[in-house]
Amino acid sequence: MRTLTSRAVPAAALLLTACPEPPWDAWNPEAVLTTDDALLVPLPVAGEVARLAPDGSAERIDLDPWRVRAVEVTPDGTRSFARVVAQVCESDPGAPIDRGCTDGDAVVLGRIVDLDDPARFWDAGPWFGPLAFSPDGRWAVAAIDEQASVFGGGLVSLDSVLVVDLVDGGRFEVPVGFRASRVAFTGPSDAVSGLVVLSQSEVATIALDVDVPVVGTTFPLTLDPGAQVRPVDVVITPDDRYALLTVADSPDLYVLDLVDPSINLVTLPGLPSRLVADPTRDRTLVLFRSRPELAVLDHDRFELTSIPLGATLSEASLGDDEAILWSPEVTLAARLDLAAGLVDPIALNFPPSRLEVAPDRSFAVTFAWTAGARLEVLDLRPGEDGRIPDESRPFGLDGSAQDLLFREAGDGGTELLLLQEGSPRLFRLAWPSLETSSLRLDGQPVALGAVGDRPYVAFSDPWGRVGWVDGDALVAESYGFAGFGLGDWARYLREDQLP
Amino acid sequence: MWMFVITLRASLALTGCGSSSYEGADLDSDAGDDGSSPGDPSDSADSDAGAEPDDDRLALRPSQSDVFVFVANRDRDTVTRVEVSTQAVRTLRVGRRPVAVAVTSDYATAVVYNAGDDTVSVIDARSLAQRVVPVRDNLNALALAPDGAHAVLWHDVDGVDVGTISGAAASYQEVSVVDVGAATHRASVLGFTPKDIAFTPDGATAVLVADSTLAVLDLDDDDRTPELVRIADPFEPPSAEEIVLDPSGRWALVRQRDADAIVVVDLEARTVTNVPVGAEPTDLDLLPDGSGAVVVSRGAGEVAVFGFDDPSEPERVIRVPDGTRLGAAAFAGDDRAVLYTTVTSVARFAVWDTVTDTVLLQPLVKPATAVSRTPDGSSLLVAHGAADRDDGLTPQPYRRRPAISLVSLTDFRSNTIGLSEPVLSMANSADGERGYVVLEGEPVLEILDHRQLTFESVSLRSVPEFLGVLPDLDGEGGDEPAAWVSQVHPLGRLSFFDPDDGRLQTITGFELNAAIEE
Repeated sequence: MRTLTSRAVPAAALLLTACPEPPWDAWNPEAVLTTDDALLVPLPVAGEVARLAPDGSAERIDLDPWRVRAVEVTPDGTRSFARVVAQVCESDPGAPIDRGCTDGDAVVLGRIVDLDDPARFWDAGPWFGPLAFSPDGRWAVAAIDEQASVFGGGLVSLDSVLVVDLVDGGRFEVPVGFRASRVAFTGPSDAVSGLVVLSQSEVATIALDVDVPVVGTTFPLTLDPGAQVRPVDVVITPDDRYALLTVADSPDLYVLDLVDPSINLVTLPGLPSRLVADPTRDRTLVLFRSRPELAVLDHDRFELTSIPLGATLSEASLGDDEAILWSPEVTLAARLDLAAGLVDPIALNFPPSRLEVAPDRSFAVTFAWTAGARLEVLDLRPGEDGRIPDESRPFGLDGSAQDLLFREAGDGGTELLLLQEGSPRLFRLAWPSLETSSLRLDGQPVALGAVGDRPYVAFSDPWGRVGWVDGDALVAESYGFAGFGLGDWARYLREDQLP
Repeated sequence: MWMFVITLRASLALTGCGSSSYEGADLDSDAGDDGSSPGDPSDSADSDAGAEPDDDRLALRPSQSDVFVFVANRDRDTVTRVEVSTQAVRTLRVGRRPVAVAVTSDYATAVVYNAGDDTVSVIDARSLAQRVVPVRDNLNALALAPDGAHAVLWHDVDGVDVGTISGAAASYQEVSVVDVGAATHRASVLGFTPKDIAFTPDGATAVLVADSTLAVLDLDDDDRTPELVRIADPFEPPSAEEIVLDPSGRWALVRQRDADAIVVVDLEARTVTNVPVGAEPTDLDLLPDGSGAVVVSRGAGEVAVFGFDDPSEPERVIRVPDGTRLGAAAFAGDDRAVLYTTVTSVARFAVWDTVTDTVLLQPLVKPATAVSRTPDGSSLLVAHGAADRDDGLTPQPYRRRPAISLVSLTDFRSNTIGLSEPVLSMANSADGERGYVVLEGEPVLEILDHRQLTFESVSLRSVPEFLGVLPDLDGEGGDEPAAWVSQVHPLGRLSFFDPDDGRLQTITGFELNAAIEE
């Protein structure tokens, strides 16, 4: 079944008469985003956004005359926003331009638009990058995007972050330091009260529980004005007192006391690869780039306890009571019992390029791309002796794993849905039976995901095509949405580019 | 007499609220109860061997208030405060190039001398509120009166040059007196270059000594000029080295280099008497009860005891057996003194019973370079350098290598421990249970058990600089106070060893705190 919205049909029909096929970059199947009830598809050529529902319907979100640069969704999926820009002539900023302004007269303006209510927006210079959302959904924060191709006119303060109040509507540009790279929120998850901003050679705190957010404390990361210390990773302790951060190319872990401002450095035994918060036990796990150990940092005296791993395992997936550790460099993974500190090694057949743990954490899968396409299944269920199987179960693949999805199976088990590069099939692996099956698809699938409990498959199709899965079949398709706004898109082409 | 003297040297940058410097025995520091400590090169009494560095220590004043450790970061123009109980760190900017910090005995105020801009920062230890007091140029020594009411700064010609001369002209004969409470300053010209200072216990009077003159400063009277007392021929005076004051303030005793006499000054009558003692006096100390003073004459191998009731002549003279050339005395909390030498090749020490005046000689494996008694007097910690005995009888495996000896002063058991590097600094806990040693260039803290005479090693993160033991907060034998080790690190590093749980906690980067903006 293919459906088009009532608005999409005339748009596509209009385009069909003028242009035989939209450009292939009219949409990117791998760039779609999911909310709790829909798929959002940025249409970068048309500058539009399409919203697709699991029933196959599609609608255009009218942003005109603004053009979308990115779509972003809050972590809980309930709200979505677009970062949009518009080029105007400075001499007549009220009127969008069609073919450009006179030399030096064009300026680019930016906004953040609420996609649920496009009339609601915040001015945001086009130099601001991706949004970081607070866990309570109230705040969005953006730093300068140095890779941005549009910087607009005039002078741009490169040491500011944009703080947007998504509830009350305020927007604040707060100077925090040059090259802000990452933020972390403090306070209860349902009532965030502060912000920690990592920037080059310094860290700033911003109070959010005030009328106008301002910088509270600025922590230096070096006293050498010629040095550039680049923060990499940050963890906020559960009591919100300390920010722990690692910096590039240094074994020093900075402990910033946010309450009674002071700095302590904990020298790690090697260069860290990741910090992993373990809030249940009020501690932080430190993984290393090239050391066969895991360091556990307590949040009381900030002392390190080392747990030998047998090999360098630089990546982790943390559960409530255990963590799965792995590395793309070695044929070993491990399950760490977080309470007991015991490590169960799991032998792999190939170094994994990727490891994913099922939502119920009963099993994990790894993918290897370096030695032929391989999938290995790791059984993470402890036996009576508390140990888990020490070897994985390998499977061969036709092509490289392209995308995967865990979903609850009808029998109470779990299914792994998998797309393989170059294969027109949707593969299914049932857990724990390990039975395999596949669904042949009419077209080349590119991406896989789910809106709620409804999986979807995005196809490689210039018109825009997404199929919705129910059970073992595609039950609906959204099609043609890539043509939204292309009538407008055509006006941005030069005459020699027009069909 | 209770006093606190700091001669400004690069090595002295950390003190534990006016008490940790007594606990420590930094081998290259002048800090001590009378301005000297083991290995002090400025304490030389003769051209051959020199005077004996002191390691006397006075009992810690009990305090139930919070106590802080202050670290002067001379290259960053900051001072860092570490709260002992929580080890919370705060750093604040002071004047340029702070070279010394001292804390009043009530732990309420820190006094920092900033040599770079000729100021003293008077800091509230709790709030870190700071008042800045300008002082005279070209000073390099700081002493805090026992009551903490005044700080006295002067230029010690035997001290290190801390580069304090601001202009083209410089005086070496001025003294600055800072009223710590009022944060005010007055300057006095002495007319001579002082060598040492002593205070009366009430902190009302300071006496500075030079080769030919004493100066008596009334610290409570801003208008009075120093009163001078001539103690030697002004044209060819012997070099003054040490002074002690009668706790009542009446008598001052001065030891001079190459003088076989002690200068006894009646500060009330302004009379001066040279009292002969044995040849080559190399040490002058107050008796622990303050009733008199002791002069150790290394050349004569004897000890002269002066009573302050009548110091016109020694009360008694005690001979060291065999005329053994021991040149310094170390007192502790008992009726004994340990006589020792750290500047000759004599591999012996002696225990002098100050009640019976019996002296018992004891052997050492090899000559000592520093000696430290535990505060309870029960044990002795001896540092040895690489130099061996002149008679060639240094046993293997201690030949040509540094060592330390732990000696029980109860039954004279000892344990000599060979070291890879010479001792940099050593300290003892107030209860005498433990000792601590750090070595030159070795990132390790040696923890000594004075009861069992054993040791354990704990790795440090970097090379140590200074060592000390924190004051005993409860004073009731509960938790043992931690030992601290400052270490070489561009942003500052300090480790605390907690003897109760054997854990070492390290704080690093505290100099960054000064740049925190709130």
